[in-house]
Amino acid sequence: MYSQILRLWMLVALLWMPFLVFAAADLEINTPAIGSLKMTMQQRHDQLAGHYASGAVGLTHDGLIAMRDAALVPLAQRQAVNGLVAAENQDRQALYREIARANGHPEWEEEIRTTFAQRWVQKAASGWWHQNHAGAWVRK
Amino acid sequence: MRTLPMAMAVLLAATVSACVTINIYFPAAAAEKAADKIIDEVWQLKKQGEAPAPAKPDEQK
Amino acid sequence: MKSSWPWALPVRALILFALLSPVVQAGQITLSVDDISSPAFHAKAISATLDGPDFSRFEARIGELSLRDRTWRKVRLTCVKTQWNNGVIRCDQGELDLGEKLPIRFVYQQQSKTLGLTLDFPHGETWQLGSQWGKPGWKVRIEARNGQVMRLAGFLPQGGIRPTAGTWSGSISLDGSRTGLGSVIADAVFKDIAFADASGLHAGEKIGGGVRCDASRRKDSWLWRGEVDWKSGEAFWQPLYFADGGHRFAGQGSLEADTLRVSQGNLRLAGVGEAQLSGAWGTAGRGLTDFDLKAAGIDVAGLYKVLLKPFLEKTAFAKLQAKGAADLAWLYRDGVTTDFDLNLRAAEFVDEDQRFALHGMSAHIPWSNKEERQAELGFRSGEVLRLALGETRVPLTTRGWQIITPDFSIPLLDGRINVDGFTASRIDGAWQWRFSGGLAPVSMERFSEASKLPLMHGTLSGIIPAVSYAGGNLKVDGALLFKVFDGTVVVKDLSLLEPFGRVPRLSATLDMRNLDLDLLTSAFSFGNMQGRIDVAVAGLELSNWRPVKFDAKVASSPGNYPKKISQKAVQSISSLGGAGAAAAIQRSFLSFFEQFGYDRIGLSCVLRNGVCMMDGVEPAPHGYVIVKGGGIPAISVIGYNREVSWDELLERLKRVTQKNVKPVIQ
Repeated sequence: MYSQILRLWMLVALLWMPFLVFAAADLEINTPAIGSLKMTMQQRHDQLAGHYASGAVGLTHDGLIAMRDAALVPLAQRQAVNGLVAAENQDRQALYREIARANGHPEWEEEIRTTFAQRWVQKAASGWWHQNHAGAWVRK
Repeated sequence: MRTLPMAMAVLLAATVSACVTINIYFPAAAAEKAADKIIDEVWQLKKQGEAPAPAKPDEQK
Repeated sequence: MKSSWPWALPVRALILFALLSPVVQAGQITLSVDDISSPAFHAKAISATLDGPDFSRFEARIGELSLRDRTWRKVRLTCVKTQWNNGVIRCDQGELDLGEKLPIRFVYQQQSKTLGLTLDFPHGETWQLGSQWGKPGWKVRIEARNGQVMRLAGFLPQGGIRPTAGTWSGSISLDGSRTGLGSVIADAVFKDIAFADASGLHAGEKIGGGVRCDASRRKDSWLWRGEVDWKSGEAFWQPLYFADGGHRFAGQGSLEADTLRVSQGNLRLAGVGEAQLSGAWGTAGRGLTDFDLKAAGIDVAGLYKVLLKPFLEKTAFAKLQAKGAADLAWLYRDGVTTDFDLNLRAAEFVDEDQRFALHGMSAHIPWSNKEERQAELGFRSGEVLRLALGETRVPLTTRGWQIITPDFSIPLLDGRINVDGFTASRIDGAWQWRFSGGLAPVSMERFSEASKLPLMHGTLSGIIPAVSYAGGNLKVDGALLFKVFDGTVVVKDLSLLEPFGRVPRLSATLDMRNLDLDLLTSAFSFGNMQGRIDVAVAGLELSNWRPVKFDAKVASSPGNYPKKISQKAVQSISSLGGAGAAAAIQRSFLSFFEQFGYDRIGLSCVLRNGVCMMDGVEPAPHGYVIVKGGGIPAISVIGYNREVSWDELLERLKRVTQKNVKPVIQ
């Protein structure tokens, strides 16, 4: 009987383990580097939002953004939008790297990117375009 | 029958220490929470009223 | 080029009708052919009927007509009043049904085998085709007035660039013999042309201009001569954008089996300049393999804006104000640059973010990928992070992608930076460089003024040991030594990760000895203190130039020297512990004294995750001693907060130093 109770205990303990693990840590995201990346991305978002809505720019499945249909942007602005996309991607890469570094686990970068990739899409407004797992463009 | 509480204590200790070692795995839920917080700020998804307070630890008096 | 003009093929079909002997049946001639087929052309179920008085009613039907990638079904050509006279077939009012019904006119002369055909579309659009088929050769001439270029879209290869709007007027003449096409002459004017590829990364709008070209065959190759005049309209050819026309290319050359050669060419780009060029373009995906380019008097402003800026977007040179003139000679062989010679005159490069600027820049850079060349560059004045640079001339020796300079110096404020043994090389497309040197005394007054820091006194000088840059990281081997505030500053283990990236990271260890507190406190309006201090900052890490981690310790230097602390300085130190402490001093008897003696000062801060863990020279009940009193009158300052947010601490420091702002008179 004791052994049964013991087993039950073990089970309970095992069930609790993930909670203990996940409740244990909030990720550190308040470093100056992350702060300044957030700020520039926030400012850039004012310029990008229209292009997400038009479908010219979409969210990729690897946590970045890409020019989806350049024809939706006037010729004179195409390179500027290309530039915005490149700058945003640089910031996003830096952001994922910084979060991993700030938490003392540089090797988490890829998993942080994957997490972000899902969350960006989740939080995207309807009508925006994003890539599915196969890399094909779909409209939200 | 003191062995049971002892066993439990040992088990608990083992569980706790196991947690510490498991902790090196990627904290998916925390990462998701962090991602949500950053995305909300970058895309300004939260209304003004809900805006998170400036990120400053409490001033120590 | 070799395949004949598509319109020439239906002509052949028409001629076929005329040549075949018809079957005659009581007032009606019927002719039918099952299939006519050639690589680019295919027609199925063809029939023609002649009836009516004098066989004046002519009707031809083609069940399916394919021309390259285009297919029409149920094509019908009718002519109500066909005239047959002495081997001349004439139709003044015909109708061609290609899905849309088009008025058509044609004349065919059997003897000379000439055909003239006119298609009239609405809105004044006319396409004319003339052809002559003789024994020695044949001629086809296509003329258009306001011809919609869209009509040609179907004949262009799939997946490439397609016209989407616009018209052309002009003519194209093709000459040939039984062995094939012999010459092409084209002269056309374009209006409001728009084109785009599927991705939209190569597109043009409202383009107007002209093309003139003539080409003739010599055995296995073609000789061509032509000019393209792009008068107006915008185009985007990723990443280049041309806002307007004014560009022109004229040249001549040859076209061999898989290579297009320009033997002599002249390219004029509006706002940039003119270049003489020659080169070879391999079709079949080989791209540009060889070229020679010579240009004199290029406008650097236009060159930067139109041609360079789009490629520099991710570098420190993405936002420049550029000026000046340049001459360039450039040799490119088999896909690599072998030689160039760049001359830059009176150039200016000013960063719009005010990180750097170069004025009165000139350079003469001859370069060869094999031989050694002597180059020189220099500038009259410049600026880096607001620090003024003086006139500098640097001779360079290049050996391919390796650059060596003799020792040189750059005037910096009132001192100079000496650069010794500079070498740079490009390995696998990435630059790395290294040098050593020193900083000859720069007055701190000038330095602090230029850096918009509080006025500091003394001089800044130092030895720069080996500095190296590779793989995006800047590293300083050995120790940087500076003399400031009458003491010494040693910077060790300095490294900069991605200094030009989005989040530059710096790590270093600082060791400052014997700094004169009198000079230091007067610079920062902190309240006067006398004495000397040592500052040690271990494991300093800056991210985006802001500290994220360090172990810092400030302590009185060992030795004998006067130690005095003013009331204001005591207040300043106390304010760092929070507003309350300062007020307490204000109210206490201490306000009667201007200066106090002290024995030791010490404060340490261990910064982790935005929180500074503080400590002093020794523990005190519930706190730690920051200033330990000594002499008469003595004062001790005790801190009670062990943890203070770094941002908050900076805020307090700012408040303290700003509150006390007043001119410093030395």
